[in-house]
Amino acid sequence: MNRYAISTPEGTRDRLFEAAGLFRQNERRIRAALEARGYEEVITPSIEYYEVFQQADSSISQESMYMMTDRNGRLVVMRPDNTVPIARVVSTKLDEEALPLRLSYMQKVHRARHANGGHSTEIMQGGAELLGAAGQMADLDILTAAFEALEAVGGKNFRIELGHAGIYRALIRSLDIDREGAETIRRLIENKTYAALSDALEPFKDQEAYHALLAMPTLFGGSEVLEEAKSLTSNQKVLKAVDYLKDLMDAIAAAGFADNVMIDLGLVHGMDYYTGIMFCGYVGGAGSTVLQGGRYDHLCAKFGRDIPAAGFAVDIEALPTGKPESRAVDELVFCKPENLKDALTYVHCAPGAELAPCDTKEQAMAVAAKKGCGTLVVLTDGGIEKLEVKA
Amino acid sequence: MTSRNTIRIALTKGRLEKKTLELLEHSGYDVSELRSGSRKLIFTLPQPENTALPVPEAKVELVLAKAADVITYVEHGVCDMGVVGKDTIMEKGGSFYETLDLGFGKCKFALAGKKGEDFYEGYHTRVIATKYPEVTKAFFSKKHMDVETIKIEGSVELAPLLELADAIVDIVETGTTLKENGLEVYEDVAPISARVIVNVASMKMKKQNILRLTKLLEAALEAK
Repeated sequence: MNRYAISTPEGTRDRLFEAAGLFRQNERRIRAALEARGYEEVITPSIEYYEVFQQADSSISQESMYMMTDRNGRLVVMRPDNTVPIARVVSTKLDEEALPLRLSYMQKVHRARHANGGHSTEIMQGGAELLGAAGQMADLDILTAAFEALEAVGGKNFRIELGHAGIYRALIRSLDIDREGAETIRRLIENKTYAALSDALEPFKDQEAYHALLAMPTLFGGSEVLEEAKSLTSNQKVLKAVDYLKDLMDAIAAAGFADNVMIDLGLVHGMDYYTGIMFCGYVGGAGSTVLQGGRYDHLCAKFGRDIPAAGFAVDIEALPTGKPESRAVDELVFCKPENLKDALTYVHCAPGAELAPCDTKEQAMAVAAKKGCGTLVVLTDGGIEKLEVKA
Repeated sequence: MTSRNTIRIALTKGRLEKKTLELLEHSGYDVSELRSGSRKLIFTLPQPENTALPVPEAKVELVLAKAADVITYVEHGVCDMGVVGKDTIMEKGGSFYETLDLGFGKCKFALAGKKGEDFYEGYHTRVIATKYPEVTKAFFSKKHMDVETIKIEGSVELAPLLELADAIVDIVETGTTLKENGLEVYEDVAPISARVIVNVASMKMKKQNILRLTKLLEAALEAK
């Protein structure tokens, strides 16, 4: 047989039995946590026009989108991101809805990746967006929803790190630097490449922003890094953002997440997108970031509705899976069609019982033996008979 | 991810491995098992005592791998840290932190070709032979030049000699091979040395242990 007739494309996988159960278990937990906070689920198409993402000016590169043309020759993409479609919906279909809006989703995004890297190309994301609300309480609202979502799947063993897009932005704008140079510095901070960062910043040694920019990759940890950041600069915008983060830290700690919150002022990804707080989540046992979010006040305006917004997405696949809820079949229930009602009642009441899809008792006995069930239950007009199955 | 009480480090087999072991030994770790010529692939280092600097509380495991695999293991979080050349990082890319330049394994990427020829003269599309197509593309795209890259597996120097390519992008250490074949460096592309890389999640979940280990390596480097 042709190999493509019997395999799945790279980056995708079949999830069978336990794996499917554990995957859905994490989905259910995230969904329940978001529902409990009043976030209502929406479902958007898995195929969108390419222009939607171009309009959003998002940081998703063209190469990482799966593109094709529809029957009219228009360019469409497999949804590469969940927030952009939601911004589109909120700015168009929901423009009469009273604000703020709480929306959630649980759906896949598709990203093309390098071959043979072992990366998934379809990623299930569960997320929440709080639209039309800004300010400290709005930030705390979405942040605590993120904490609760990870608590629902990670118990106590998780961390969320807070940063602020305004810090890097204020510092880099104070330098006389072109776009390309700024991007180099941003990338070095993002990857915590200390040595090269120090070289790249060398020409700006005399400037006020130098020390703070140089230290950015190291400024992660507890609230002590906020004090350190304040000692490195007198840039008013930076100081304001740092004080704001301190207030958020205190409020989050008071809300019961003191052990789970950290600071990383070196969070500088998606700088064209985030406008305020940014955060990343990690769970013990997972080798990558499992949650990403932040405030993006300019996104909806690109679709014609100028409202503030913040949100986050959890990567369901990256989450560690818990212990499977075991579901062994102990009893196989055999009946004739006229006893079906009783048989169904039995199956619904007895955990670990299922119907024998067989027309004769002998077939049913053979299936029970193959599947390793202990008992064959035979339902007739005369009543219930339980037969021991010999392996 | 590796367990919370372990820091697993992937070392690029060969010279980088030897140099890194020297640093770890200097910091107080007993690395004799790795030098014994054992064919094991994972080694657990005994916890050192009475060291000058605080060592990680977690036990340190070393894994030996090929350069590109070091990145793969760290990116996927099955190793927390790695020691790998900048050449491999530039070619393979990926998402991880690059926290320390170890300074050894020094060489450079260079554009080279037949001696005495002006590479930039004329308007034809240049053909570049290389083992590092990504590095080559990035270098020329910065110059706004369209080039055709041809991937070569063995001695790249042959390609311009056989007139398959106008030039090569390759690692140059001493330049002897180039010289002996009548080639010369036209332009440096990027300096290369050994780097310490760290998994993004490990850096956050095991911050103290990883920073301690980084400090140890830094101190050992300075002492040398």
